[in-house]
Amino acid sequence: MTEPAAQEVLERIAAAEPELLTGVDVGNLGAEPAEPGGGQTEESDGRIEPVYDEATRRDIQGNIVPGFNKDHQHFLFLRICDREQARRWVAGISSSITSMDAALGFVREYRARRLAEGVRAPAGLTATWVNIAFSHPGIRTLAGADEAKRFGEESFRQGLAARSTYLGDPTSAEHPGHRDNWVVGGPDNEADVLVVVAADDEHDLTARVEEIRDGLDGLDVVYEQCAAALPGALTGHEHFGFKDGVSQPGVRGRLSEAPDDFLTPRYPAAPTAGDADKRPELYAKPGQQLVWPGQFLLGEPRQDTENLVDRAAQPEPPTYPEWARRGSYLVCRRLRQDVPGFWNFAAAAATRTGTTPEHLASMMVGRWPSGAPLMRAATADDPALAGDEFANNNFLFDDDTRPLPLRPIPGYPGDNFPRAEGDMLGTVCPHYAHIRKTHPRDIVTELGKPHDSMLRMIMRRGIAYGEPYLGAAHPDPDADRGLMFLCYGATIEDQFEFLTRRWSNLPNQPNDGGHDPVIGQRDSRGNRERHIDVPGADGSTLRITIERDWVVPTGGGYFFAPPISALTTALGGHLQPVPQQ
Amino acid sequence: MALVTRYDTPAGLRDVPEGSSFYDAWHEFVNGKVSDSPGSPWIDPVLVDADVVTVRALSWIGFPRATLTVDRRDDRAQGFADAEEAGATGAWRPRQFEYFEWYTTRDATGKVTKVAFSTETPQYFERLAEVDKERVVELYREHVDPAVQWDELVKADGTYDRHNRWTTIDGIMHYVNGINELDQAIGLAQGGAQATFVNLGDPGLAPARDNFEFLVIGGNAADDYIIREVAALGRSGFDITVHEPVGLYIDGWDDTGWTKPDGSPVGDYWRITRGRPGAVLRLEYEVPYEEGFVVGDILIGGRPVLHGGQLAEQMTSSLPVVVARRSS
Repeated sequence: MTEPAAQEVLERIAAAEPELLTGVDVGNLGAEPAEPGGGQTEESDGRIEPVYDEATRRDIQGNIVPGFNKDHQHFLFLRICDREQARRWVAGISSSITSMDAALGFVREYRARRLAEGVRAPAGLTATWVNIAFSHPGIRTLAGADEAKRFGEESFRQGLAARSTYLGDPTSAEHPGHRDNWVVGGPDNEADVLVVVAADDEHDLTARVEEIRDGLDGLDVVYEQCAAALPGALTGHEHFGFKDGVSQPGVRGRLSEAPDDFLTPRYPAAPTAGDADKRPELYAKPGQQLVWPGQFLLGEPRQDTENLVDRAAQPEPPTYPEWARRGSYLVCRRLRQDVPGFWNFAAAAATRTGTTPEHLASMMVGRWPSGAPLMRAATADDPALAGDEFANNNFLFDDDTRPLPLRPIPGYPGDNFPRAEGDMLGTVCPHYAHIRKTHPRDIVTELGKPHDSMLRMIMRRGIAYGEPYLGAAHPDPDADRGLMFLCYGATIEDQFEFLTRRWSNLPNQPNDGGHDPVIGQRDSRGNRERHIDVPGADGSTLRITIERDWVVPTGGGYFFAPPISALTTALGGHLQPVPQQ
Repeated sequence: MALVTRYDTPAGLRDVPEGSSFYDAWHEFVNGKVSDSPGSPWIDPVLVDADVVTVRALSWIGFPRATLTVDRRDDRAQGFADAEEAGATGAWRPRQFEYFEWYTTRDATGKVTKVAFSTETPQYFERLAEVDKERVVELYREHVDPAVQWDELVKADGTYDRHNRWTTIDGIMHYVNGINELDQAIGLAQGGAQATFVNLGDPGLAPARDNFEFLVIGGNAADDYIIREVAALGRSGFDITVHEPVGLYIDGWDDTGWTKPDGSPVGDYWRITRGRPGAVLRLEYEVPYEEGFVVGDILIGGRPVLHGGQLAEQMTSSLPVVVARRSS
């Protein structure tokens, strides 16, 4: 159970009410031509963004972009038992797969109403969506070995279980986090197919899952996981109590040739003539960096390695089969969370460092429980800042953050919160803070310039699973609760694995100061000890050792979410007879 | 008070007895470069009184970034092979330009048996050879090959040859890539300090206000890291100088997720053979004979070790600097 000091914090977090923007009209922004002088700067040849017309949007799975982000989700991990039946089933479900096009229209309306009405979930706006992904063995079974070999992503070919200890997972089979003990995705229970079902309404979800389960043909259920956002004011928070998914990259690309019809709506005002400020080209909204779509969709223009805003060529020759273009790799990690373990550590460490458990825990995350960043709220939580999507992500780590002028947004009062000041020594947001390690923004990393960090970004699609601890009258401290971590990217090794192994798991990268105390895994010949160097008010640091695992991997897999068209060609439908010689 | 009165050798090496003129020569070499100050926020620590705020290890990846991220972005395996390609004479280890070089030893079947990493400079050995050539031969025999002879280490004029066969094609004693020099690394830090008040890309423009505005220095990690980080420290109001003992060091290696042929985690096969913990100059990786397998049998994340660069990818090198404030 949680210690009294920690319990007090948990009760406060559970009772806290979010402060949301209201009366803000973004209905037309991003879909209509801008006011004269507004919008984006002129694109040079290296910056012409691809147009995702309706036909293309209907071929891309919607959980990649813009993301489902629904409060109720269910994950079906399937094993293929009959190839031909499974191919027919895959072709059959293709018409049920939610595309970028379908999701995008809904998400835009949902967001516009949310900001206008000042609510988290607009009434009467619901949908139920389905996406699908395949492991490398699954593709080999369905499409054949030759097609499977054309995937150049070596980590995908190896699978999560084979890469587990490389990610810092326990090496001892005695540890519950060892791959041999996973509920799914271990050496003996890997899934060939992952179906993600998401709904705004719990009953809709249940009905859709039952329908899919009943219709399975040629596939067996290896494991299934129900997941749901935490209830009430904690919606969108993970089990430790912190708002999750605040920062996501903005994907470049257009929906049409209209001047301002961007895939990710853009709000910076155009620079005035002669202004050297290039940020309007870099950000979709304050703090949200624009990244080329090829970082998430195979075969699309990618982020350049030497220029922040230019695109780079696709791989040549392609590192994937042609039918896989505009698909994305999907990493799934089932991470069990020990809520009392996390907060009892925070309480004990707070006592040693002379701060509060809430502050200590927020330094571990880099944000307060509400989602307000420490960089803009150094001493106390600020729910209003957390609720302002134009402000809650607007900060650098190394240098002072200058205001970014925005286009007129009707009803938006402006960002009047304290500005983030440069924190090179990590005294406000420590070097070990989860958000500083996994999204270093302007920080120089071991690869040199921050340009490289843009190549590491992932599209996170996680959701909590298990009974809540926070807000429960008598929570079971040992219950199986945690996060279904999902992320998409055009590579697994250079994005998810890089973030995990090099920045979360190493104490000296991107800056020396400790391991990521939230998701960092570390196993050096059986030793799982980690540490954080907690900054004190006098500029000194106190090293505190972490001996307990409060995030334990318990399953998952590496998958590939193909374009929807592949479900009726390479991966599904009737097998074409092999021509006889 | 001044932070430094006399520059010591990297890691405080004592390759020749105390009192040798070698140490005077080394002090003069380092002092000549460090004192070549671009102005505030760079400090000449011999002359300027300052209070230390912290020591910061400017730390970057050992494997060449340009090969890993740019040239072979989509073919990592080929990148590892590329990084070990020999260049023409005078351009040895041409891709290993991260102030971090390595040499891979293989058995008759081509399997990797040992990888030696070094952050030592030819400048050190040139000065050492001027005062004690026997000691230089001893060091080569100890660290590279017992068969090394003095006449194999010198040029036709009898002076030390920094591109001799035992530190190029047949081993490694120190850097041989032309841009890996201690004074160049110090110069990068000084350039970073200068960048706080001068736009290095165009002196007619205002200096960069953050790392996104900063110009791109080049394709490697070290140059960009050192210049940007020092400039950012300067913009934050700190003064910066070298940290004693001044040197380039191997500051990190990560063998988690590496497995023996039986699938169990590898043992600790690293040996610091020059320098000391916290200031490592030479590191060797070799499996003890009694283990019954060699480096090439190890799997890193499930992949066999085919090149020394696969280890270098898991390593970092660094230039420690002092973050300070001038004494009032």
